[in-house]
Amino acid sequence: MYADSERQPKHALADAWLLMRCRARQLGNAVDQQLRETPFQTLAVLALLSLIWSALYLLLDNVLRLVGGWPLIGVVAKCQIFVNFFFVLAIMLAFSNAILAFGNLYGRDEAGQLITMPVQARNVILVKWLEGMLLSSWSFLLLGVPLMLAIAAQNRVAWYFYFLFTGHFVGFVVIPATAGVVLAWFVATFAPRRPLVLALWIGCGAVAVVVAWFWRISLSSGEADAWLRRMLEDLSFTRSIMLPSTWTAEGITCAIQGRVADSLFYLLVVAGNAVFLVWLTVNIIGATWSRTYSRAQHGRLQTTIRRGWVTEVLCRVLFGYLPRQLQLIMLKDVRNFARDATQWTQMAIMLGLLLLYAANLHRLPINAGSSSMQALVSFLNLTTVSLILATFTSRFVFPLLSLESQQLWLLSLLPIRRVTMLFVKFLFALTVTGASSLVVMGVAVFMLGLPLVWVQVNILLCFGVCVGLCGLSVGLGARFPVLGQRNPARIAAGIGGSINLIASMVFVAIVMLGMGVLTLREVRAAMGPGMPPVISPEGWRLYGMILGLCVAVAASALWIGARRFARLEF
Amino acid sequence: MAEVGDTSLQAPYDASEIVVELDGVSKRFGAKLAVADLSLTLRAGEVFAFLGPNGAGKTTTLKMTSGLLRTDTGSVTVCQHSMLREARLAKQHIAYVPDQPFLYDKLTGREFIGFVREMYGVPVGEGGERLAYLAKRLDMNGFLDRLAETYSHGMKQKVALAAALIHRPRLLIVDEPMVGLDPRTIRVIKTIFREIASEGGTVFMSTHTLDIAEQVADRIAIINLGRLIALGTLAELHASAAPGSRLEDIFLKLTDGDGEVTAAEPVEQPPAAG
Repeated sequence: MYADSERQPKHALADAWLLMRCRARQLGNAVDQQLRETPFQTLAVLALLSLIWSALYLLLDNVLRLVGGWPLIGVVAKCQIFVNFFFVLAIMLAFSNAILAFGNLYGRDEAGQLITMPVQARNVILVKWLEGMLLSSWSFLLLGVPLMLAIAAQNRVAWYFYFLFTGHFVGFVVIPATAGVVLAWFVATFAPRRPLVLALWIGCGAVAVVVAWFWRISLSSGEADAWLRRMLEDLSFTRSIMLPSTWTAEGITCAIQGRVADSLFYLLVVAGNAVFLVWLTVNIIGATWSRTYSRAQHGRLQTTIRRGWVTEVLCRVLFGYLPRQLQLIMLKDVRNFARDATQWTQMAIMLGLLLLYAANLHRLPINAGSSSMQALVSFLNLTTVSLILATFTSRFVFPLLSLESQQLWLLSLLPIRRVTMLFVKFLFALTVTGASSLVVMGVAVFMLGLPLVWVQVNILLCFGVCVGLCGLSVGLGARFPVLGQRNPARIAAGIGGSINLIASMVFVAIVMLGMGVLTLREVRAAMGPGMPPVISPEGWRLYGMILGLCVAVAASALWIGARRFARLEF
Repeated sequence: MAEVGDTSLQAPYDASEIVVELDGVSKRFGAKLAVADLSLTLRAGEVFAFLGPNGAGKTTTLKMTSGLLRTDTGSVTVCQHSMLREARLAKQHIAYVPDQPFLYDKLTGREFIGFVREMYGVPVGEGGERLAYLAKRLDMNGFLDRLAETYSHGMKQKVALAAALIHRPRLLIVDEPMVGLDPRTIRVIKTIFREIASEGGTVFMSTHTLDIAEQVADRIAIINLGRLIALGTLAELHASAAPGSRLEDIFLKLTDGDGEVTAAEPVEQPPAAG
């Protein structure tokens, strides 16, 4: 009468099929729920995503057209772009898959449930690998379609190009995705106690290597041309024929040129290696999953914190102007931020790379006497910092209030108005993002040698963008809270998070458009060799209006969020 | 088809049959010794309650028994299958319900139970009948077709328990089964546990609720700082303590201090049959 081990013999992949059907069912239910409960929001997000997708297509089309116009070296340059494009994406995919795979295979929830069942471990690894690959690669695939269409628009490609391109793209994704799973397994096996600390050391090590490399070529190459040549020589390893990114880039180039046999050859090389790597990974990791899972649980030991005074002092310095009650909430947030390595390491790495770029700006072949070039570079700097800020606030600031829903029973009992809570989150986000972005912009404008008035404009507008983005993310985070969810990535990936990301991007685009037009207007009006040393009163007024727009956007979003948040029942 | 509680269809079972054997099991997390040289034997037809203060090693022991954690030393055997070498065969006989049960947010309770049913290879017809019975017994019909993300803790506990029982496990491992449940459901679950034991199954549960251990368990073990400090039937534990003392008094006396054995040495007795 009790469970019989020979009840129903299963075929080798039965568990994998069952898990995939379970996933399909979950996806179906989620889509159905989304369409039933928030159909208009879903349509709006899809429409805006299509807009971004179209913009991406236009951008890629223009880049390829520009490169294709270069005499003689156009074809070679295109191939180089592909090689470096796939090389960088391979690294990003491997790391994002590693993070996903670690949580999927060695986390507590589903993995813990499956491991107590009589399931074939290899089947679980196979499904988790596939799932991680799809989750981490969807944006990559979204990028692939406009790239394919842009290539097709620029070249007279045959019908089979589309099949070859798709094959190369899909085949390429498999290898870094599998490498990511292997990386997660290594961490769980050899460093189960401190996976985040290990990731932090790897990240810091990588940044240190890049800094040392930049330092070395900066010292050894005085002229800008020599510096650039030396940098490209050092990066030549990305073109190694042993790398999958090179195979894919070569295969796509062959497909564009109509060399079907050559393209197929590279496709088979990619596919062969991908299949072998997957087979090896699934079997090795599957055979050791139970043991590695058990080891990975050792990492969740409670660590004694003895350095609480550091965050206490930091909080008093940064938020000393606030009442003590609000300072305590800030202290809680500062400690959460400081002890969550996934948050601050991403920010630190990004900030480090931006600082490195800013510090080396004087190496670029920019004609200091050319006002248009100086204006262009400072404009691009501000745009880059703003776009990075937009992704950062969407990923980390937007979920702040949703994460508080776990503790709102406590915070609601405190003698603090809910609106104040919004304000506290806004100030916290503004302090962190404002401090880091202003440092980067300060270094960048100093290295460019801009006149003081333009330094002021850049710094002010950067601060304005920070205000707008933090206001948007906090306000929309309160307007579209995801209650009960503990994973910030999932909160950010929801419908509200998508709306926030799109709104942030649109906001940055509008501000940058205004900034670009105004700067061009001032430079043209001055007609001097360098950036004009003064800005006209009307120019100041218009810059002031842009700043006013930033504040208005922040205030509006906070107002919308506050209204919803005040009525929210937990 | 025999159901839990359907005593007319009981199959005979051997009360001396060993279902779980922990032999010299130890587990260390960094510097902390979670479980130290623990040996236990659970037999068919008994409800076994595992008591101990917070951090005593109860959940770690349950996790090692269910195959979630590997032992550092010693061995775990379930239904004559080693958890190290024949894990899949051993797990075919086990169901584990953790203190915070996991359900897929975007599946309904019925879909989740269907998933577990299929994972254990239970035929559709048999699984359907069993689910209908469990849904009625645990009063789940009102929410079984709603997404799990809308469930309260008690609803999740009920669905997780139903999923655990869908394949008629020989060994049901439950960590804090009564937390967050209403009195009626607690009564139903206590009855179900007794019925499982009366049909030859084994229930291995950890709990902080001493009354439940007193009412349901055939044998009780008390663990402190990873070491077994008392083991026996309720009567045996009473006999080892002062006359007239309650389980609460025994528990507090044994677990007060440094975890050294303060009562009679653990005794290993076969449980009373069904």
